[in-house]
Amino acid sequence: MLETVAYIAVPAFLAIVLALAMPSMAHAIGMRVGRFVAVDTLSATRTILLAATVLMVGIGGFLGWTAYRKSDDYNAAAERIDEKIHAHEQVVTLATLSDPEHPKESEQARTPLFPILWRNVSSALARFDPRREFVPSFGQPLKISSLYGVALAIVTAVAVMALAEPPTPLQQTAIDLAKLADKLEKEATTADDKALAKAVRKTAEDLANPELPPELKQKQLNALKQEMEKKEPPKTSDHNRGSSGGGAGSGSGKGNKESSGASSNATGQSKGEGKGAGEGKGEAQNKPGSGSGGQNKQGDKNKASSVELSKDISKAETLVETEGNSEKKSGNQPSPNGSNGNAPKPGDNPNQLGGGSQPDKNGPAPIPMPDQNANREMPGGSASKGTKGGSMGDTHLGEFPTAANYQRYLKPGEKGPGLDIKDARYVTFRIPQTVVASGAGKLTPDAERPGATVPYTNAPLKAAPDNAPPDERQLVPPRYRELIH
Amino acid sequence: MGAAPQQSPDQRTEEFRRVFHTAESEVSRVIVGHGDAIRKLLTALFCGGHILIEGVPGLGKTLLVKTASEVLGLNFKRIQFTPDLMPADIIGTQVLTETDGHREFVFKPGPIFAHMVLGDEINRATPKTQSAVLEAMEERQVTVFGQTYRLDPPYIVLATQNPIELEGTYPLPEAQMDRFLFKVVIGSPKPEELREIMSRTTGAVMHTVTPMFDRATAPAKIEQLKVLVREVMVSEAVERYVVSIISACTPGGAGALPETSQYLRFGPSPRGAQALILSGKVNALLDGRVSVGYEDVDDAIVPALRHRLLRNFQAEAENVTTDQLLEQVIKRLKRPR
Repeated sequence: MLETVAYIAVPAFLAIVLALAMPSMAHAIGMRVGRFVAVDTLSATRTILLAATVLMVGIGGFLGWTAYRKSDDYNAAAERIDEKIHAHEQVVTLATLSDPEHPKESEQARTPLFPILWRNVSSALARFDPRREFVPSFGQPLKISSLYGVALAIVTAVAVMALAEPPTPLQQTAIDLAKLADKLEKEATTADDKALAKAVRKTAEDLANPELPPELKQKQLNALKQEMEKKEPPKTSDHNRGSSGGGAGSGSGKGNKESSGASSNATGQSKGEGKGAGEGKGEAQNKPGSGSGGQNKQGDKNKASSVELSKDISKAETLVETEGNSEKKSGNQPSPNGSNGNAPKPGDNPNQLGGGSQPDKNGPAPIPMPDQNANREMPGGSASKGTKGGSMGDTHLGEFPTAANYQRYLKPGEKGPGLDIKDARYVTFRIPQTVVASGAGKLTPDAERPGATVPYTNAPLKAAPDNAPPDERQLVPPRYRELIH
Repeated sequence: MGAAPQQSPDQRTEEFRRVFHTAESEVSRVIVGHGDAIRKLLTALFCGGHILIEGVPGLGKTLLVKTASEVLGLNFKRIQFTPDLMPADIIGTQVLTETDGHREFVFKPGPIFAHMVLGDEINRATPKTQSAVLEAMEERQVTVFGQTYRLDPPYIVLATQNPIELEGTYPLPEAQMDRFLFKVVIGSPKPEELREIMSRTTGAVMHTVTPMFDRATAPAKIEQLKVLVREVMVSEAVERYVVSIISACTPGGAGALPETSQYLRFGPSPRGAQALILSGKVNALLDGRVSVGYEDVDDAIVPALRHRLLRNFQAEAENVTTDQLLEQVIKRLKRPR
């Protein structure tokens, strides 16, 4: 029975191990190979592996039970013994003719030759030692089992590699951070440097982990930033060093705005990144400058790494924020096809192909709108996204009306409260009908409540002439655009 | 038969082995080669079956049967089957005889009344004549003019068939083929066997055999040994194994192999299973056991079943023989464990 069960032992165990270790393995492989498995795919693979384990355990249990039943059977046991001692079915014949369940029939089937059979079997069984003959040998079952296990591992590996996808920008940043951590570790001279490298590596791993919430990633990044800031000397010394090594450096190193720690910028606006051409030029033109640069060679290296690190961190922060936003969006408005699509924003052009809200730099200039400037003053920073303002009543094809020209409701000089509503499709305001006070309270008039200061009238507006230009322009629906010239 | 109770089971089994091996070696003194045919002939004799021997002329088929009968001290008759042979020529007929002025019909037995009957080239006789042998083979009796005559035991028919010159022959019907325990195919002798045949048959010294029993007690002795064969025990496992063999050879059956379903029209009858068990019993006794094992059955599968399988047109077109099919069955069949 144990031998039978041994046939599935290795693949079942391996399947469990693979299922449990898959996230870590996929993460580690992703960090090295640069291809990551999506969370859904990973969980599906784990489920399949666990289901396969359950199936294998079930099959193993059934086979084991069958083997147990067989070994428990009187005639089957005789057959096993026969096979072991090569008795040419004499033992099983004797068992047939002395079946305790059918004693009468067995006795009737005996012939005058039965004593010879009895004697032959007795002498054969005298040499039979069950402990020696039935020693469980796991060699062959485990060998076959290992083959199954290897096959399972290969299939899983191939499947995972086939399902792996190129890294997302955040994961790519994590890879870059991990590489940077390696670099930092290599260059580390102090315990602090090593600790920083370790922290960077940890952050990189966390960033690449799709299961971690963005908030946690953000925290990690903040912690890393703090650690970096602790490690970095005050910026003033940096400036001093920069100016001392500066002089005639032209600041052309790598074309970077922030370049030339060892060169350029006597104004002291350097952020300490200088390398390449900028540094060389400084050395050639100004000897004292080069001397100073030489002393700070190691420092420059570290500086370069830390600049690179801070850039990566900033990049990661942006990406984490984006990820957090997109998660929120997908949490509020789940896409019907399950993908993380962006919800349409107010002012998005529904007819634009792809990249909806991104203005096309090469495309034609946007049509000027009469109230364009007003729209740009929209609270909540919506104007900064380059929207075209209101939809002008064209509500079809997914475009919905946006607040337009709402300033008319405000007092002069009032800009209104900042509505911090982002990407909401509809906003409902519920105005309380009555003021409800509990028994203990008392009604107090709100003296600060803004009231109308400009006289107004309910007189009907002056009728506008028919030939007057329209106040608002409407977007021409796409289906009519070819008809109207 | 009277001596049987006085002997212990061990003595009886020992005697069986002695008789069998002695007869085998005695026949081999005259017949060169054909060891398997000799063994099958003796096995069929002790099983109470008949044997069909197929081989080209001149291979010593008649000599084999004649020698075996001499060794065992049994009566031997030979019938040369021809197209004009009539049933009465085989089983005998009523002859009008006059004794003391009184005339009466007296039955004159035919050549079928012997312990060992050799039907040479049985497929040359007409079906009517062939069928006359049927009752004798199966019932061990013949009926002439309403009178039944029993054939003295032991009784064995050894029929030969010539696989060539099939023109003007009447192939044995399936029903008759099924009555033979074994079909033995005798092939051409090997070069060294041929040299031995030449030296034995063309020299001045003629090899003779020593009868094991005298003619008076031989039939009884052999009948005792036949009883002993029947007493050999068979386990359920071996019975199941035999059933699985027969099922594997039965096209369209539950356990049929794809090859048998493809190439066969009919499989073996229950007589095939009986043949396997009986020959297995003889093999077990020869091996010193009193119970049948799987190997004992395996040894008999091809000779006991090859003539019971009826091939279909596809098998004939593709020249697939029953021997090939049975080899496949042996190879692919798993013994019960």
